[in-house]
Amino acid sequence: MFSFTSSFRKRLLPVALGPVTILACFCWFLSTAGGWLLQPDYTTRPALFLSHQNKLRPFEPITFTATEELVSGKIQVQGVPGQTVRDHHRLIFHPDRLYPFADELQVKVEGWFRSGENFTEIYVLETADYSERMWVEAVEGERPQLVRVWRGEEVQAAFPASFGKAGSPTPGGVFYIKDRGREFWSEKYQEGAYYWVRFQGNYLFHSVPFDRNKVLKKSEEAKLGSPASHGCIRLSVKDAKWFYENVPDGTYVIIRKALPKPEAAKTFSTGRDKLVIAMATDVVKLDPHDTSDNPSAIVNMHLFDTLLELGEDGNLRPALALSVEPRKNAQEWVVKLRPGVFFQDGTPLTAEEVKASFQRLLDPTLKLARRGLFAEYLQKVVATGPFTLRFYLNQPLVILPFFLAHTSAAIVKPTADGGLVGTGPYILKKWEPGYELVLTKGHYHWRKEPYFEKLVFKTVPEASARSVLLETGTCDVAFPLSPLEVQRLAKKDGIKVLTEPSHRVIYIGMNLTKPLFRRPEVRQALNYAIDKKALISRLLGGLAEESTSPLAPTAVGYHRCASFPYDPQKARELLKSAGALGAKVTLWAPKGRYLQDHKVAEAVAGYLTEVGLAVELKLWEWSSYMSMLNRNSPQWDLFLLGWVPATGEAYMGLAPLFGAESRSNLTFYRNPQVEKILNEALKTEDPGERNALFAQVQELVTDFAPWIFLYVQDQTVGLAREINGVEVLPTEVLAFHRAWRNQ
Amino acid sequence: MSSLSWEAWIGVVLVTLLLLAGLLGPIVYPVDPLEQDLYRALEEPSPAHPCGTDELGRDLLARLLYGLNSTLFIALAGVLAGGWAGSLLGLSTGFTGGWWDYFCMRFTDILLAFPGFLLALSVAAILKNNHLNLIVAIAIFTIPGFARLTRARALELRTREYVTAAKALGNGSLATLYRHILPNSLPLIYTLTSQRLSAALLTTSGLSFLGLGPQPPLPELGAMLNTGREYMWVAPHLSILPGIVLSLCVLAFNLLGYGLKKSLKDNRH
Amino acid sequence: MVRKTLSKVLMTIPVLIGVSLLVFLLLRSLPGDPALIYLGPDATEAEVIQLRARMGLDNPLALQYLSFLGDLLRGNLGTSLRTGRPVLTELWARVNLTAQLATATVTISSLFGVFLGIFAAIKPRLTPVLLLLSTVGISTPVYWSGLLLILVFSVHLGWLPPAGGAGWRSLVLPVIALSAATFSALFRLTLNSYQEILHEDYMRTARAKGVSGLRLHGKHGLRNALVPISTFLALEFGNLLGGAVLTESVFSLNGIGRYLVTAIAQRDYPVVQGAVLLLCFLFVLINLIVDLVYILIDPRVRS
Repeated sequence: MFSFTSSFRKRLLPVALGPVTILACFCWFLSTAGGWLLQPDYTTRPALFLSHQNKLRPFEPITFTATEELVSGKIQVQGVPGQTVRDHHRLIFHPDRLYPFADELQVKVEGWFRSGENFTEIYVLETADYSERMWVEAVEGERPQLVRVWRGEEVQAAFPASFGKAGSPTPGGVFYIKDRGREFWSEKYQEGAYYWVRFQGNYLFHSVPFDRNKVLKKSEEAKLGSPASHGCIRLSVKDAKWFYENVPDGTYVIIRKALPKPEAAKTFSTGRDKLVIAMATDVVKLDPHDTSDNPSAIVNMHLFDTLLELGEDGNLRPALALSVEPRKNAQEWVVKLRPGVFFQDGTPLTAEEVKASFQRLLDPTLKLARRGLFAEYLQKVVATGPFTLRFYLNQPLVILPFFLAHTSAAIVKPTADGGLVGTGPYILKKWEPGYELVLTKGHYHWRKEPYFEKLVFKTVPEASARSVLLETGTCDVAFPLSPLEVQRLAKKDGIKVLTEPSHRVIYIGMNLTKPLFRRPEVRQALNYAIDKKALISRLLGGLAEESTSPLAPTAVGYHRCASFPYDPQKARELLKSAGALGAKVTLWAPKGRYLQDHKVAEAVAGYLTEVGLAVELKLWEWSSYMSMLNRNSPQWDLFLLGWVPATGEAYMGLAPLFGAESRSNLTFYRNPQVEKILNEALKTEDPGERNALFAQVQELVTDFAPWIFLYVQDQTVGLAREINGVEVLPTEVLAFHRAWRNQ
Repeated sequence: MSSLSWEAWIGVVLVTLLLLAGLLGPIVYPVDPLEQDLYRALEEPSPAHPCGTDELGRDLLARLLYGLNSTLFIALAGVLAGGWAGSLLGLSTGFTGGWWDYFCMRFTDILLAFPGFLLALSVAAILKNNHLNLIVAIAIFTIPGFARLTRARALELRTREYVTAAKALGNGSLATLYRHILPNSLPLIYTLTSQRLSAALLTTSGLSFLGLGPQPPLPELGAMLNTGREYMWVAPHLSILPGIVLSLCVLAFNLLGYGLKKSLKDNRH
Repeated sequence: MVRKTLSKVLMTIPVLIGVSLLVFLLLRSLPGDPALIYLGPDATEAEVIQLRARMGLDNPLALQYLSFLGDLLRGNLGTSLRTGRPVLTELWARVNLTAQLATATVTISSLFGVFLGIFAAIKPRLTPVLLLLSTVGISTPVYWSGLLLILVFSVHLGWLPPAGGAGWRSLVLPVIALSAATFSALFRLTLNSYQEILHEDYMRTARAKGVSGLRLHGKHGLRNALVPISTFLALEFGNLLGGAVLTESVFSLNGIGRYLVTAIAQRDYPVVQGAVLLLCFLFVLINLIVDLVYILIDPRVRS
């Protein structure tokens, strides 16, 4: 006991209270300092600047660009009514009336930056003098669509026209007439036209098209006034002739797009909304060329796009490429890109960029994890035009389109600071590894703009924690759900649970370099020892299906083979005959990656112990697990792992696992016959024949039993009831591009 | 022994019961804690399974008993090892002083600079996850506390008359240490041991809660609590029962420790 | 007094160095080649050799330690093997939450513990029961009380979230769980010390003079009790850091504690090293501050 005596009484109170106060102050300081340090860096104030150098031409939009995203903004031009359009960083003024020629206009722009600062600025802009000149105006948003030829302030002529139809729009903006000709013919579209006048690249004013025999297509003529062309502006033959004869080179052309009416956007409001998603493991890397785990694939899918994509029904559909066609027995392929796609840094997607992306993937010095996917087959990629490419392969590969739909074949573009930018609808806002990753909508969309402004991916390792976040409304999407949660949550009003089959096969692989597993009796015994039905019904809540093949039934090319029933007696006998009773085996398993993975491993260890093996269970955290499963030093006996063929078909479900030199072949299974059949299948164009070959491989593998075949697990996704449009692909990837919230 | 307070008595009773349960439990209740039966998983307590079953159908009571056994063993072994090592260190340095004292005390200071649990955590994180290494971690975590307090005691005793008398009589340091210092420090050491045991129990189960203890399927109270977390909604007994056992353990040793301390103080006055 | 202060401060320096040495040695004693772990299984021989040279792994241990110490002093705690970001940045992003947890716990348990302790000392009827309850409070492991709180307040009642991410609400249950242990210990301590104080001469004198009620206990009693309480709090801060590790794991909060546990599981050794060093540093700092305050108030020095 401290014997502070009377002299202490004289001391003042604050001093004795010191330690507590200091402790509290210290903690407070830490939290505020931490909070302050975490604020974004405001060394530069946000600013706005005008994107114009020259004088304002008739109906020309006025664009202001900001250094930071804008929350609201309005532009007012003195004496000229118009509408302001806000597009993230930009404010654009679209005039409703003609600017007065050769005048000075006062332009006032005001609004709020995202950071909370507001701005009000006044500019004075000069307008050009077109009072004596001829100029052309085309307003796309009007019906009927018209091309007006002005002289000064008067309209000289107005012609009904057809602009680009959906999918091939006419570009908007400011142009000048370049050259002209009497007629032309397009092989591609199998049509031609008279009196073409070019204003930009391949975009022309011309007459209604004629066919091969120079017969004018009457149906197209009827369409004048509404969109119908491939991007050009069509006029009647008479008008096109007039245009050809009277509008000189160098004439100013302004093509005004339709302006959004303020109320019209209400039906599908793409607002401030954010979607919060809770997942089990964190993203490994934001580089689709260098990751093979699912969370990374999901996030990367929203940042980057592939040339083709897999739909929910397992079929391929065009994405960045409009078509992928084989030439020369599938050893050469022609890819046609979709024009009008931009990377989120504003640069357009061209064939050169696609080529560069594949070159990056194949670059041996970069050693990207997914290089192997293409390196074996792809010889080179050549850009044959601004939007066309040719893929040259080492050998025929009929399933190349499936490869191109693989999430790791995404088109990426390196940025100056070592990151990557993509064409996907979202960009990375922030990433706190192990905790949270936030994506925010980008500016450029070639698909329909997604509903959600932000996607927030939270890492929540415990299944129960995920489901509670869903229940309390803290997150909108939670996956995977544990089987217990599925039953419980499905009964709740505000939540809906999706259980979909997946391609995910869960197996326990045997290290075939160990002499114990070279005996077929041992391999079979291990399979007989496990009660798969018990695992599925008791640990997985019925959310899985017993394996009857190395592939999942949903994969293209699946073939049903025999399966091993639960027979511990037989297992024991087999082990005894092999003299393997009492053998020591190590079983490695990850914790928290697959549904109940460590529990399944524990149960399997129990079953194997029951039939007479001495099992040592070793659990690993997922990222260490992946680095420990190293082919160079295989220290395991048995390992639990899952596999999904990301292409959704048999080749990628078999070759990586059973090909002798494959990186993902952790059993060291080696069978030249299997290699031969797989190679053959790559050349077989007929799907029926191909699947027969894959069936052979499945039979061979099941017979040999390099695995304890376990089950194919379902996907379990919990959603808040008002969330719709989430795509659940059997490759265990969730897509939120078309998701929306029902208000 | 009548000088023991009522708290100490409750503590003694509880501790005895728990030790008996841990030691004799497996004999009295010979159910295999590793025997799984998936079709009887997550069952409520019933005559067949007095505490119900866990997620793999194993008998929970058996697992609780083995887990208790395991936790107690690790904590006891750790504290005894660390306690004696620490006491020897403290007593010898307190008594002899000089370079040895200075050096050891600095080393103890360094160990004490680690917040207790963190020290055990660091050691456990480095080593492989099994029983022995957990004992080592607990031992290391226990040493500094003992060293400090026994040193203070030795310093205090050094100036007592019988020590100076012994020295005057020509007894060697080691003999003095053994015959005089040590016996007079024993009550303190017992009290400390009991107190530290509760901390050791909490630390052991804390480490196994984080997955750093004996690996599954071996039963361990902290690890069982961690698993129980997953099944909170469907089988709360998995979270509640191991916690009760653990808390009772810690409570028992705490009461014993407080009681002993109080008795020590009362005896001194 | 100045000399004592200075000597106290100087004394901590060798302790801190010792701690860094210990942590350094602990982590170097790990099996496995750090360069190989960093590069992953696909590394070639040449790359491993290069990285070893760059990391200085072939230098004598003493030299490695000195460069490690040098980095530490410049604030470089290394880079995470998992994310490649500086460890200090990662830690700093999470210190916020742990600090909030610690502050709230200290504040709440101090207020309740001290006042209830004094109250119990004054009214001795309830003492045995309260003492028993407080012992129960100390004996309950924080992760179990956390689980029970989740069971009651999240599962059954649905009032509070069981995991992090829901703003201040996420902190309510963890703080309650952590405070329970600290509060119980503090209560016990205050009770015991205050009981002794009540028997002291100066209290009797004050009472004889007619001072009573709040003035008596506040001005005279509390002041004297604060010294052992503060000592205890300084020590308890260490327990709090340890408890925070467990609490953050139970409640999935994104603080330093949980980050440390995750790093251990992921074998992200630079992070483990950095987090342990940071926590020790904080602990030593707190203890130093308390020591210094004692020097200020210790009457023996003044006179």
